[in-house]
Amino acid sequence: MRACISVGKVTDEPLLVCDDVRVVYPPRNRGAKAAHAVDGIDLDVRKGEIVALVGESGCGKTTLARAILGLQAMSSGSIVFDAKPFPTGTADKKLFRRQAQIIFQDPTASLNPRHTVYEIVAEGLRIHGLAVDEHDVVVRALERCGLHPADQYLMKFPHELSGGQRQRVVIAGAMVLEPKLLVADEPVSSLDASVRGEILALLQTLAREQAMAVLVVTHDLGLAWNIADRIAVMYLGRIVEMGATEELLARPKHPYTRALLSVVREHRGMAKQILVGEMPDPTAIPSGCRFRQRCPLVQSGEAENLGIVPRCTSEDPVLLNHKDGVLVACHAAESSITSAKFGG
Amino acid sequence: MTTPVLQVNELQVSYHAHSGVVPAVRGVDLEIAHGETLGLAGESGCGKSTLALALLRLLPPTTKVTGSILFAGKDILTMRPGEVRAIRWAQASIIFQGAQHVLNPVRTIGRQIDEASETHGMNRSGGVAELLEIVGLGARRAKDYPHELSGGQKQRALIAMALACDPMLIIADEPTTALDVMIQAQILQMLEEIKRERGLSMLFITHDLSVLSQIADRVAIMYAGRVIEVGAGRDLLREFKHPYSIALAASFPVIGDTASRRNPRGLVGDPPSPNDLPSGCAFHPRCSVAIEKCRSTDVVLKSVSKSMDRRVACLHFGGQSD
Repeated sequence: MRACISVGKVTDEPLLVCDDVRVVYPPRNRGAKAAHAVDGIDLDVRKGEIVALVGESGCGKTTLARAILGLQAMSSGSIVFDAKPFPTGTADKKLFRRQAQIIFQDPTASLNPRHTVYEIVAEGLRIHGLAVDEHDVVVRALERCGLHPADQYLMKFPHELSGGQRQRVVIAGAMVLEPKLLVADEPVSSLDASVRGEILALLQTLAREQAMAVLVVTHDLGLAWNIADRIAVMYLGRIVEMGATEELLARPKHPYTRALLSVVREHRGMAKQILVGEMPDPTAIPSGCRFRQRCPLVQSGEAENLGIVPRCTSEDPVLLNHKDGVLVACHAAESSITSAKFGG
Repeated sequence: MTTPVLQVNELQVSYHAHSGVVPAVRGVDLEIAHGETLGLAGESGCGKSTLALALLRLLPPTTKVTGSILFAGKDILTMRPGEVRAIRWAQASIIFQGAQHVLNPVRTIGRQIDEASETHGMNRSGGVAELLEIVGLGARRAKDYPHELSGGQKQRALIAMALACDPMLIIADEPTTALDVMIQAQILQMLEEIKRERGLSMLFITHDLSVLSQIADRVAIMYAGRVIEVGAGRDLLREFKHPYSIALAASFPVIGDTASRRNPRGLVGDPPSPNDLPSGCAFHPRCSVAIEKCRSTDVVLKSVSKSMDRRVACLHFGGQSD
């Protein structure tokens, strides 16, 4: 089946602006070091836009998502949501929690097993005292999320549904609140491949029709290719490359993005670049470029030829704008840079 | 032709549940030659893990298993328990999915690897240290407990354990599923090397078609307890014939392919539940090319052409029966 193709457009209005967001977890015991899980992130998401935050486990992508939703206190930095500073008052916070919704990887864990589909979807409406005609709103949300006729599902319990149907219920539960931002943390990675496409198509349609900003947290570059307008690649608490999906995936500039892309087997015609070792701990971020110990450019001697090794070892690269609009944090990529520092 | 390492004929596995008999594997034929890797792909609930467990008789005793499983020519299903035990690990070992749940949290990695070889009566000359080196962990990791290892390292430890008794066949059930892409690539590369060096045969079970292009010589696709398409890896992955395989392959996006850009594809509906299988071809309710006959006719694997080792279970591919 062919999925629906977008109707609306990405606007230029930023809904969410993160400025130098940091989350530092204090040391667990004396002698241990603090973990810099999110280490200075600038990121914006526009209305109607789908941004994929891509990275391996432990890179801080989920921590960043939690910070954006106010579920994790920031250590420093600022977040602007809908042109207003991050809410602090009780009423503002409640409004924010309606406007920013999250869906998780495992729909089974997100659903109360003793609630019916109707109760699950209606719960948010009740909490926020929203629905005039609750039944009607629930039915419409379910049908919009592909569960029709909705009557068939209203009185079912989660265990009577398949994985894909459960995730649709979770999404319907978020959508009844008409959120401005939806954070989707690995929304399809626990689902079967054949079901995955349908759920992604649904997210894409909802983003366009509602002009909703969607931040998809994922390790899957294929998913990003499927639905994302922009991609931000994270490594060890930092965004190392960010740009429009087509541009970034066609011509990745950061050696980490290149390596990631080369091992995704769906991507043909690229020599495999399997990195050695694993991502370091966020309690021990290397000096200089945080990627240098695993960097293929350093290992192959290419960095040596470019004469940038001293900079790689001592200077932390910042995200710089390339002429095609992709932002890259790499000393080697700087040669093709035209404009000044991002946001500077 | 030499005897295959593993030959499975007409394997049927059904579980006894309170709702009645649940057929999980419904007549599967498989063959793995020496040094060959067979990739078995399918979605959750298609019976692929049940099949893996049935191969070494690891299913609960109430499970009904019929057919034959010939391991180096001898039928595992008719062996005495002692004989099966002698084959387990020493000749065929399993790498399970979810390394974090498989390892004993209160024993060191070295102890657990040792245990595997001791239990199955093998004493390898190099021992644990050599095995840990082979899987790229380093001998000093023997003293570590599972919680001191990352997910990828635990998976490496499990592979070391599977190699402990020099088996002929390794059954790998989703060995890289929970891992990050980079770690997954590392593990696959290592498995590939180990397999080549030792002339191992492998049954590689996965839900991820894209992994198979890297590792499988032959590929079998399962749906609702049956193999619905089988053929040479490269040939099959280049061009699927069964409508289900085609749809499954399309749900894995090809980065750079404009057809899948902003157009995620999948299949309508969900995989069928084994206790409520559709009539005729189990795939017909989700199939885009199903015809009336598909509702009533049960299809078996048939050769598509004489030259190719490709067999498809679909009415649209008549071919010659075999």
